[in-house]
Amino acid sequence: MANISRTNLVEMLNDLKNGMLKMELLVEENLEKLLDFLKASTEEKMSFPKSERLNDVKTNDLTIRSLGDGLENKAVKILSLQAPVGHDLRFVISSFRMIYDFERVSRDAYNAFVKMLDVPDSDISKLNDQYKVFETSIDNSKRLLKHFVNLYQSEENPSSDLLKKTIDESILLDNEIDDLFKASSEQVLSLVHNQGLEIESGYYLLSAIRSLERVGDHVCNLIERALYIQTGTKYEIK
Amino acid sequence: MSNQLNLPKSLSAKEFAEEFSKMRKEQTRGLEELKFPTFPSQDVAIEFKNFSLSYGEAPESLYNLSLQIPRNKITAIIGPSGCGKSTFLRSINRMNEEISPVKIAGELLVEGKNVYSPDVDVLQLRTQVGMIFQKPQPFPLSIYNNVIFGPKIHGIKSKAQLDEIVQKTLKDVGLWEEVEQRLNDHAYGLSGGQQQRLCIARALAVNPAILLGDEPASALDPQSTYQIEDLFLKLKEKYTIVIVTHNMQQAARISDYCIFMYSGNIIEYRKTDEMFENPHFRLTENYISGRYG
Ligand SMILES: Nc1ncnc2c1ncn2[C@@H]1O[C@H](COP(=O)(O)OP(=O)(O)OP(=O)(O)O)[C@@H](O)[C@H]1O
Ligand SMILES: [Mg+2]
Repeated sequence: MANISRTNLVEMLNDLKNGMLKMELLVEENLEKLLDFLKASTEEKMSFPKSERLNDVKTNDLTIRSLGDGLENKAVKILSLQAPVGHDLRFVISSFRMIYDFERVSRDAYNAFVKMLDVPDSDISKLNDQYKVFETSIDNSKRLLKHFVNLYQSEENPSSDLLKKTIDESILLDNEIDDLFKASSEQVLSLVHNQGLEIESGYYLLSAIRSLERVGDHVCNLIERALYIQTGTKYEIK
Repeated sequence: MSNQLNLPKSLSAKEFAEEFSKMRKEQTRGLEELKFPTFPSQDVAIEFKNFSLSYGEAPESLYNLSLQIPRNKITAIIGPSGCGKSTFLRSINRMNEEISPVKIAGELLVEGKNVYSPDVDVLQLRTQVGMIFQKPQPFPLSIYNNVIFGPKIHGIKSKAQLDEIVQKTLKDVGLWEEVEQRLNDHAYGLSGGQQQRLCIARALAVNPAILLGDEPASALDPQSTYQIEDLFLKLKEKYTIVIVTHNMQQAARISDYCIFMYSGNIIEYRKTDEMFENPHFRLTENYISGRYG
């Protein structure tokens, strides 16, 4: 009884898990790049370098997509060949949603990036601390992602301390993102009305803000999935 | 792996119960205490009340079981070899004592009546509780005579009545069209799956309330297995069905409730879908996921 069998299933599950974590790394890297980019812009009050960064982010995004397709196939194989149950079952079925959420995080981050680059140089100087707000929002999403990884990688049946900490802090971080979203949307509108920010620029900024808010939502979905995998219970943190 | 239960190999059911109660908390994956399902009394077909059974002078093979099995549902019993599944099943129609002398403690109620009370007519009980075995075991008789074997013992003599029983039960098990033209052929001429359905028809012919199956499909090819599974799903409208199976997917496919036994104890008993999505105990999870060898 002590020796573990079904090595084939265990290998397939590990393979899927490693793939998911690889995806997470790429997503995290994209958020990181976005953050660097914003920091550079705010510090130097300079126009956005139409840099290779965009290409990097785009490349990652494409890699994430093809990785996602491959992982979906792996999950289907496990379901069809191994009839997983319990934790294994929750892990495999959650992968489908999680692949989607990873793809969305990456795509929304990329979209935010693109929209910011659309703001013409002439308007950049009119922005106050908008980018600081963006930074905070992305930073929160990164921290949410850390919570996700912690939980996802933890042994099954995480301690109630870890659960509570993950849930409480995630709720706080997500709420903060939502508040930032509301506040900065209003600020942008007021810039358009009072500071002569071009309407188009306002639109680009609002789209970017919206995308960043979605990034947070999708990372929250990932955390909810990880909670379900590890506990069998469906928690809501949004 | 921390998920394993490190117990000395040869614990009796009673010793296991004591050890397990100590590690219960840690085994529950930190979840809330789980209670076995209970049902309104009119929906209870079988009830174990602090029921223990031992063979001869050996320690208990079933220890202190208390649970209710609902009417018109399929309840599956799963668990590793030697954990007591067959013993559990045979307790219900008192077949254990056919094999060897047994000692009983507690009560086992079928339709509200303790089947171990002295006034119980065991033959009557076995009419009420039919049993289907792993290997189809038709009698060395014609198809027709297999079906009417029980009714005849119960004194039914009228040919018309017997014909009717044959037709009705063979239809119930989906065999009628296949054998209508050769009712007087020897039962051994049927395929394994057909023989098994014939055995089910034979059990149904005496109007039981409960059907027990001890791995009833494990000797059959996939096609016949699915036929038997479909049959059980249909029969549960009229009968209470309890089956032992080593096939986890079969338990998942057909049972409403699932009982996981281990070392003469019931570890987990709950709705099947819940058990397979989120088993309560590590021990259950390890077993149903096939994670120990
Ligand atoms: N007739 C018997 N006499 C003595 N001991 C028995 C008898 N039948 C079963 N046992 C013992 O009772 C325990 C439970 O056996 P049982 O056959 O009920 O297990 P099981 O779960 O049906 O196993 P399997 O999956 O191999 O069929 C075992 O320890 C077995 O050795
Ligand atoms: Mg058995």
